[in-house]
Amino acid sequence: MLKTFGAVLILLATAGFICCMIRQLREHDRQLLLWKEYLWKLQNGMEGWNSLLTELFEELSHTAEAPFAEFFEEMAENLKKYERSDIDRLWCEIAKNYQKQFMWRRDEWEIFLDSGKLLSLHDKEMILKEGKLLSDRMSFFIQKAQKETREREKVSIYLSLSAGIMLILLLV
Amino acid sequence: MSEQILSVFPIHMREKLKKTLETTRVEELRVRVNRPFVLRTQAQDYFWDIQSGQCITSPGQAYFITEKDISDMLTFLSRYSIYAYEEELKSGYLTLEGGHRVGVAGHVLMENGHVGKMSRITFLNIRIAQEYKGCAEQIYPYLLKHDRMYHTLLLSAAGIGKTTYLRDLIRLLATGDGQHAPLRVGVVDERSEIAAGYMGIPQHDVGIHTDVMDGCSKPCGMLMLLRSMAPQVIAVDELGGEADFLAVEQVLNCGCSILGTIHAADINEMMQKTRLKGWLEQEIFERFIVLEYGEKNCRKISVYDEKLEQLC
Repeated sequence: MLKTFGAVLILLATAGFICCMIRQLREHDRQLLLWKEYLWKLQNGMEGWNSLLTELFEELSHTAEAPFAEFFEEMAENLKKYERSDIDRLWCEIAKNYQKQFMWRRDEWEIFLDSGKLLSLHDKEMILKEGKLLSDRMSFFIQKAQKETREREKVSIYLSLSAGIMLILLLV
Repeated sequence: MSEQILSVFPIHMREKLKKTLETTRVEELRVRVNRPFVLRTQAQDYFWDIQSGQCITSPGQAYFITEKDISDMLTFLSRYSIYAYEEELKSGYLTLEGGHRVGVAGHVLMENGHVGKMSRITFLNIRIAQEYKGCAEQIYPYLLKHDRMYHTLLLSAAGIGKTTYLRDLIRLLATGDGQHAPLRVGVVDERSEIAAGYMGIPQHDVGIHTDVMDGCSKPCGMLMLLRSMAPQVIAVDELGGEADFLAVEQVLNCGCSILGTIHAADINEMMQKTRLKGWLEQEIFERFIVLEYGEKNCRKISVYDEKLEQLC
């Protein structure tokens, strides 16, 4: 009886672990995809629609998903004070407050910080070019991440199941 | 008003400048790189002491503007969005919220004989907007006939207040009063001086029934308003070029009244203008308002009819 109970617990723990791993991997990918979308919206708003940055960030804070919404809201609030002229550094400082909410690796996080430079550009041609560069870098990471996610999901399922079965056999 | 102006200055200047603007009636703020900061009042120009926040007459203690100050100011006055003001910068100005105009100067990149870009802005002139509501009340009744406005030209030399009077006339026409019904007025505000549009929203009071074509050339603006906004009056500032007058002809042919301004110190100077001669002979314009300086530097307004007989 105890052994059966123990085996069931092990199975549940294994399943829970697998789900947790998969959720983290998918959240990582979701955040990368969302960032590409918001980067495009920022760039398009600046270069295509002549929107003011304060308005762009306000709009994004209402429409964006977590964890971006809070970040954009804090950016909008800070910009409206008109106290800092170094907007790219302001971006990096505020981003660091939200770093723990993003499930990104270091190189992916670097792109997010680099995106602040887009905001300090004055020329629409440069905004277009810089936006494209950032977008291309994002696309590379997204493809890489999606491929890795698929492989990691498989590996983590196999490993977890194998470990679970081994533990059950040991118990039994 | 002062918050809108203060927010464009660097942080280290704001507190003391706030006290200065509260105590001194400043008309313009002149910012020049590596030169003293200058505040222009009606009486004279002053330098500014950043330590005390006071206006001074000698440049010895004056605050000198740095390159970083100008760079910060451009960031703030464009709301972190200089890219959005490319076209306005080519025209040499920006309009702030509240209708204040900022003239810019610096290094220009020319392209095929036209201004391509302002690549380095190193001089700013912040002109504080002043509205003088009611200044045209005495002449307003002379412009109306039953339910329409006479075709009217407002003349004056530079700097007397043509645009200010034009703005007030637009407001009065579009709002009406107890005796006169309001009219639908379309305004072509090529340089954002009449309505002082900020992001398309007029910052000055131009009346209830007014539509504004902001930043648009006069010929295009007049035709667009005629086609789409059904105006009873079209108001334009500084008629001058051939295309302006061709567009005015179309307005006249469509049964719309025209309210325009031209540079001319008096009626005689107006009659020398070649493009107007034909219209003057045909008595197309029915009212002429002449603005000039009279005794003791006060403004003097005279109204003439189509036969150039003075009405007031």
